[in-house]
Amino acid sequence: MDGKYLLKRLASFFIFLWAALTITFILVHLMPGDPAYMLAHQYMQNYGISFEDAYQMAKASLSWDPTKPLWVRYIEYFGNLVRGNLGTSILYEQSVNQIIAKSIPWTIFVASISLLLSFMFGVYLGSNAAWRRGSKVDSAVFFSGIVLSSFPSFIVAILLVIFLGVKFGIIPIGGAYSEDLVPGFNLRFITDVLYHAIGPIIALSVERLAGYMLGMRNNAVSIIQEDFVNFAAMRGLKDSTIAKKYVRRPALLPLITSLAISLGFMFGGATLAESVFRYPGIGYQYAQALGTRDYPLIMGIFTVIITAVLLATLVVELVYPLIDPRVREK
Amino acid sequence: MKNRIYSLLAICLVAFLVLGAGCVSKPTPTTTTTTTVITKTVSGTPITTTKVITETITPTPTKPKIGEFRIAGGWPFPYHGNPFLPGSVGVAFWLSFEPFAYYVPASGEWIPRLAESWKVEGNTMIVKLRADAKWSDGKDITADDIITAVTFEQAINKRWLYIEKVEKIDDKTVKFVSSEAITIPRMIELLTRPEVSRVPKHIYGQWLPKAEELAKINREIYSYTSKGEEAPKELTDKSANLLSELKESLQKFKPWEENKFVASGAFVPKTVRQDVMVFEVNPHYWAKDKMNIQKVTVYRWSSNDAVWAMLMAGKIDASHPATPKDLTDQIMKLNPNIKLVTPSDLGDFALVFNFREPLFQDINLRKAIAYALDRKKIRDVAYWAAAAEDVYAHNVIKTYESKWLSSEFLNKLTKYPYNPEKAAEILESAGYTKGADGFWRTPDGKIVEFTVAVRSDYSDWVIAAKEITQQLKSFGFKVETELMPGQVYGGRLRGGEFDTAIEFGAAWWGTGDPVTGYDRIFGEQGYIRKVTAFPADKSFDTPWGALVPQQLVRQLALETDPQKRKELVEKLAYISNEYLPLVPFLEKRIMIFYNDGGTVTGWPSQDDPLWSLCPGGIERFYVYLITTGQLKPAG
Repeated sequence: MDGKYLLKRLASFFIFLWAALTITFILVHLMPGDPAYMLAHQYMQNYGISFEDAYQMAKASLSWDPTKPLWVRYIEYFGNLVRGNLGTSILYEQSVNQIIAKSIPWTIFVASISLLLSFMFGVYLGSNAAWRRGSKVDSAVFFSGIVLSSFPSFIVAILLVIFLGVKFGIIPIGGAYSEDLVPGFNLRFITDVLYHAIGPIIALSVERLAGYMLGMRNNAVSIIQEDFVNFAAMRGLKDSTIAKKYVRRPALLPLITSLAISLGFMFGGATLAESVFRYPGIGYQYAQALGTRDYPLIMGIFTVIITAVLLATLVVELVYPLIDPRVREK
Repeated sequence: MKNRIYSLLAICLVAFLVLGAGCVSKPTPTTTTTTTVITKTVSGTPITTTKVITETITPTPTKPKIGEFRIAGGWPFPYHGNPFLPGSVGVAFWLSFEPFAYYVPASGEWIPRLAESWKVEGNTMIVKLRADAKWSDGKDITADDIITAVTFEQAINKRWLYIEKVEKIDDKTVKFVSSEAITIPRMIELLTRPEVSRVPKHIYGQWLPKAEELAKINREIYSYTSKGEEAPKELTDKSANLLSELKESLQKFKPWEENKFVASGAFVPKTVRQDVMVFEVNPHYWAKDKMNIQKVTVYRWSSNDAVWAMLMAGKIDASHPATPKDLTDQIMKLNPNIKLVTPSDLGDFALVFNFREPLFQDINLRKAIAYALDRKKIRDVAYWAAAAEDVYAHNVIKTYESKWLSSEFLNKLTKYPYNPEKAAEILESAGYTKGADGFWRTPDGKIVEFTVAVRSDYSDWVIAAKEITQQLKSFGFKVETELMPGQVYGGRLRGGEFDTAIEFGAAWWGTGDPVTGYDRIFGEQGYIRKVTAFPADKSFDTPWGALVPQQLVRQLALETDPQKRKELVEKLAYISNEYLPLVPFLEKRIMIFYNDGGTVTGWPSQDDPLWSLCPGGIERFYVYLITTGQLKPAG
């Protein structure tokens, strides 16, 4: 990898980042809705007051000025962004950086474990199914992949809560840790956090597992039919060697790109699954921000997601030549 | 080989998680060692002894600890605790702050809380605070605190601007002087809102001078707007500038973070997390000695699914999610201690008409629509726990019908049962015709074509709108459902951009009194009147002569004699029923699930009027039961 390649990649990273953030900024601010109106509905229901009073109360509590031109907001947003400041939330009157910093560790914790598990199991099951294509194992993997891919994570989350949580009492039905625990680096707290994370991890893993499993199987099946694989078999190489070096590795390459993108999107949380488990991740903040039209918070979360996706893609592009000799030679 | 090792590692990780689940889910005895140092003085010599107390605690995850009550709710997070910041104080509103009194709409009973007595005379109301009322930091709640709270409310939220001044008679007595007579709804509002005791002067005093200045300007503006005049621009500009100055400084204050959250009510927040909020008893609360519940745990109401799961698992003791019938049965089957009560939510769902359009100015068409709707069926499909408003359209909420309207009066009103034949008959006699295509046409030959607008984020409204569309289509109107995003719904309706729409009709929120509902429908500033543009300022023929609904609403607000109030309600009910500004189709009920006997006990019987305290502040009902000692841990 030479310096020119690196510079080219970095330049395209920043161009894409600016373009994606600009488009997102415009789209987010074009969404219909008034933050005061959304907040007023909350007040009306919770405090038993008329809509007029609730709207007045909401308007008074917000520092949002709807008359400020979009271009002024745009300059403010990018001006703050270059200083590492994501702005101030309309809903909480707090720094968006702080809000995200409080929620994102929980999301990264469950999302990264689930991503790792689903990727490992998906690759393992998919490649085995491809190697034994036509067998019962292959049919089972294929069928279960089709079934699982049609289950969104929040449906799995509901099923887990009802069966494993309510009926059998194996997993907790919500929260990040028991309410009587004080956070600390001790075994009781760590096991409690892990215990509470089981439901969200399984729910998120199931959704992703099918994608990796079917993707790996399909990639591997097409590679098995390549001449170089037949040639390797004719050379008398062991099946395990062919499966590992000639099939699995090239079949894995497209999945690595998909994994990188998933790593980026992981920062957006899983809004519905987090809601079902009352998990204090970024997904909850995202849903709240969207529902109340908290534009700075929505943009803050999008900024984190877009940056993470692009960074992950950049890393893949930089690492790809090391994994794939064909790219290196090119 | 390596692959097998990776697989083994993955399996180990999953096994660890599952094992972790198994280990932690079962109640495990925990040994807690507490070391207490005791210093005693024996014959003038201090002697220090160390006493080691070892106690074993067995956690019980599904049963609350003694004296705990668990519900679901919402609050802004990160938590600030400032009532003037967005999101306000969340679920702490009713748990931590106390109104002068509670008003029970179903019985008309007043329950003194922060106030021990009050007296209304014309334009004044004198309120005597209870002598033992204290803030959670131990300071007395005084007349000065009430004056501060009203000033902030007038300044920031522009509410209660009809109050010209609040005078301190003595430390525990305040006098409200109003620019107009203190009407029944205003009396209910002033006495039953906890906003009067959430701004302690010793905490918020630094902003009081600015708030007083702003409140004065806002009252001046109100003196113009209440007469229907426009306030001078200098005044409104000055108000806006002062408000932004006050907000800039006040909104930096985060009482929770600065350890300055002071409560006037029964509970004070102890822990605030994104997923759970824990309250403990206010150590200076006047009724603390009666309370059997010392802790309230509120789990985040992140979604109805989460709340249903918590009810099934017995993780919460009460909650009120709108729940489908089959799921309700499932909850009660899985947790036999759960009971369901459905008091009125003090509001009904209605089909409202846009009177700006000539089509809906025809009473015959509105009557035909009322007859063509099978309102019971709409109730069944949209909100099974509701009460169908399937006979009248008088806009007195069904639950309170017999309280306000005699059966003799009801018999005189036109009844609108589901009767498509009658609807057709009315249209035909008014010159409408039904074409070969099956559509009704107006007397001037146009197809009767309109939309039913509905906000897309209220699933029960959407179901109702689709059912209404279907029924009206079957009858022969060309109708479509028009989904509108919640964020723009109110704005578009107020701007008249609709034909018919689903809305809350007669909502008695905040007061539980019919005047609130009629003010909403006929009042000059009423939301539904603004939406429908119904000519409520014109006179309508009635058996009592020509009457103007807007004037009747005003009289009802000022009238205090119960018999005269009933007579006024009858007049407004007559105009509503016979001139159909809207067609109500169901009375919304709150579905309150509560655990009776499993974890807590002492709930009132299901027909107790106390349940009518729930709408618009269910936590206040819980607070009442807890602070009177009625609600207690089971077993």
